[in-house]
Amino acid sequence: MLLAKSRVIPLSTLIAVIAGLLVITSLPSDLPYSAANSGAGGLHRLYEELGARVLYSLKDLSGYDAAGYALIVARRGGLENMVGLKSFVERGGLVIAYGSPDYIVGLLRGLGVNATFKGYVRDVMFGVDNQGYIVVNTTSRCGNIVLGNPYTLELEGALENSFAHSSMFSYVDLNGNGFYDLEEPLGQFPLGVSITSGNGHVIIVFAKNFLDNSVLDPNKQFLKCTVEGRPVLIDQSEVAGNPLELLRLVLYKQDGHAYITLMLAFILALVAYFASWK
Amino acid sequence: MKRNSRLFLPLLFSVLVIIANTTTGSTSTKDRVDCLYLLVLLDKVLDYAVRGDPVGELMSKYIVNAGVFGDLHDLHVSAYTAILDYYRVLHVTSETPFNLTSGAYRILEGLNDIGGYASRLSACSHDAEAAKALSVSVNAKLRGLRDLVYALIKVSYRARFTDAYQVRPLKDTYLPGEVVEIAIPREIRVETMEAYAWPSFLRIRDSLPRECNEVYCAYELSMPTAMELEHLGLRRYLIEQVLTVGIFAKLLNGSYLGVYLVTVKYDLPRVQVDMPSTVKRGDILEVKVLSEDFYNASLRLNGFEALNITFKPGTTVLTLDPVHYNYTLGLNTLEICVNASIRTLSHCYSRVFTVEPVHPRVGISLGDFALTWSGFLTLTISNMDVVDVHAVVDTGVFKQTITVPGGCIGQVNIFTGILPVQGLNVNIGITATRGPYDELKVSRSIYVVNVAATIILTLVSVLLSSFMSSREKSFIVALITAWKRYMPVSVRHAELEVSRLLKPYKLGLGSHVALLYYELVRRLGIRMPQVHETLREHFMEISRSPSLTLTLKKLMWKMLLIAERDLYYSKRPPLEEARRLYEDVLNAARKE
Repeated sequence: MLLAKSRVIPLSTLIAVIAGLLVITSLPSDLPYSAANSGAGGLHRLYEELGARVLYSLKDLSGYDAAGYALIVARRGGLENMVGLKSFVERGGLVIAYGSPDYIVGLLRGLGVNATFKGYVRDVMFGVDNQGYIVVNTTSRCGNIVLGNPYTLELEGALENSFAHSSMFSYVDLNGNGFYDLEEPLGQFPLGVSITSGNGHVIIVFAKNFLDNSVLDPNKQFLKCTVEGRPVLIDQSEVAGNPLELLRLVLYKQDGHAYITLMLAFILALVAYFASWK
Repeated sequence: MKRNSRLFLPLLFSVLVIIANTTTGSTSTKDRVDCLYLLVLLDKVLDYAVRGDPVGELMSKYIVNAGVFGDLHDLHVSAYTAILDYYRVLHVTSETPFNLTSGAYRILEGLNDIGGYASRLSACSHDAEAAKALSVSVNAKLRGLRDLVYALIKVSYRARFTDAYQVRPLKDTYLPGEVVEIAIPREIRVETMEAYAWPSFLRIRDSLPRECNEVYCAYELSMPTAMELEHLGLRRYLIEQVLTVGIFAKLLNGSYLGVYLVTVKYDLPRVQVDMPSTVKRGDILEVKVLSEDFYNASLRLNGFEALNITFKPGTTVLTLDPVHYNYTLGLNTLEICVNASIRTLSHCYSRVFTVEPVHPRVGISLGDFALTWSGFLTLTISNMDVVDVHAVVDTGVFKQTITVPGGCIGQVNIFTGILPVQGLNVNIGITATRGPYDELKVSRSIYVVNVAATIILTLVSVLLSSFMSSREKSFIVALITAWKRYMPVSVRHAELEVSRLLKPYKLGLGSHVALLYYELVRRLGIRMPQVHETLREHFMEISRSPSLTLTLKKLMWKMLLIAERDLYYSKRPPLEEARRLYEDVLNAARKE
């Protein structure tokens, strides 16, 4: 009896933890920039509709023929393996990067451009549904883009590389209160730069949302036109740092079959376990 | 096993709670209008418009279609439509003066919309100081725009006006009522000379020729007086008290010829009103009016006309007796409206004053806490004034009115109820029987302890407790099952109910050894004795289990015997012996 008692608690805990893990992985991800996230901030549609490949680490880039690929990097923070990224670009790769201001400022510095965050850009006249998305003019032949939570940077010596700018009605919300204040600058601001390095180039967009599910539709044409038919790689090195998200991504890549089998096996085991108890 | 299976549920629940917390949705963004931003844009666009810069037109085309939310939308659209109209007029070069003027007239109307829009934006801006500063800038630009439109039309008129006229007296600005003589060559075949308010084209008057000589025909037109101006509803076309009048010659062939544009300057009455901002009920209100001229005026109190007066140069003092003018307690509005005269426009001076109440001097003796034996409480009202007062005392369930003569004391007995302790709201209204007094309202919350009711309740409680002490179990059973009396009660249900209620006694209430035995059973993971089992029956049942070793069985049997002695024998075994045995059993279980 004592032995039986001592087994029941850890067994229950184990079952609960496994059940929790399975339920968590079965629930939709809400991690920004995750290919397993089908919500507004995820890259699920980019992964599915463009048949993109997932990269769990930027170290894996060395195994690719850079000139034949386009890499999309979207990060919330932290600069990982800048050397690998630079090498990919210099070998002829195309990188499209966007994400948090911290990441973009770090990336620009890594590419030799000194940049400082100025503030988030708001534009009521060219705003979309008053939700922080704005229509942005580009000098690219690929047309205009829509950005979510765009911000502008003070760039030293790279303004000539600017390919996207806000409208004359936009302003920089310096204090982040969501309203215009008299001391805040009003006018056009750079929202993206294109930097050439070696044989390739990096397109950097100053926005938190650019190719996410929420804004993929209006930007799909721009993306297709820019990558010019090259296969797309999605950097998920930041997302893969979360073990649960990594599990989701791995199961997700198997089209969900392995996952469903695992889930069914677990449910059957659970039913059998409780039936034997009775 | 059942007990252990319950462990699973809290664990699963905890996991689900974590999941729920990790998968919460994103927050929604609330729609809001950034008024200061729209005001800045308006200021920028007006700046471009005043300079005739086409960027202003481009900006307006975008802005007019912007999704400005809420009730600002209509104003937003009409303001920017007016700016676009302005640009449209700037582009037109081949318009006839009348068409151009009519377009410009629409712009001038539209400028009022822009002003209204700017005021609304200023009012809803999150930074009031910044909005105020911007409003000044916007208004200055609006004035500039208005001047531009006027100039544009004047230029347009001049281009098509005849120069073949003579005006006497020739001035830049005329006085209201002043007569202007215009002489037109006879070869221009004029039917009448007409004066129009500009730019509304509302006809003010016309004139036949006064006299003609061989060369000229002379006409006389008097400029509209302030009274006339207000009668015709032309006051809204004044800009800083100046009206522009267009003089046109109606020709015999039915067409018009522009002759002259004149401006007429009107005055505002020069009056100062001085009065106290606060008066007491019954006091005389003294209003001092300093006037620089003779003016006819009317005085209104709270919107009702009180008297008509004529002010002379100097100070006029008006004493408003409260007997005739019924002031309202609190805020009152006094308006002195000066009527329009020949040169002076009408104008109203508005002042707000407060009438403070005057109450009879009365003292009320009522504390926050009171004791009563009978349920009645005596309230004393001391009237320290000379007039008699009526006092109405209301507690919600009790109401009484008394009259207390001047300088006397009155008493009211309030019934507070029969409860031992009662919270009571006492509202007292005191009104004077005569004189300019306002009603005094006093409201107090008090706690009243009814001593007699408290004693009676205590006695009844003691009696009931002593009566119930020997019937406790049956009382509780009756109490719990009473509400189910309309439901079919099975025998099994009644047994369960009784066994649940008597559970403490079955567990050996008062026997510490028995409690230790139960604790031992629980810690060994053995099932607990059922309600119908004796300890021995339970032991026989569990001792058949192979999981209990012989040593444990022997020790448990010893523990059982001690528990029985403690439960049923008059001489109880020492508790230390049971505790030692309890530890021995646990040690033996751990070793195995």
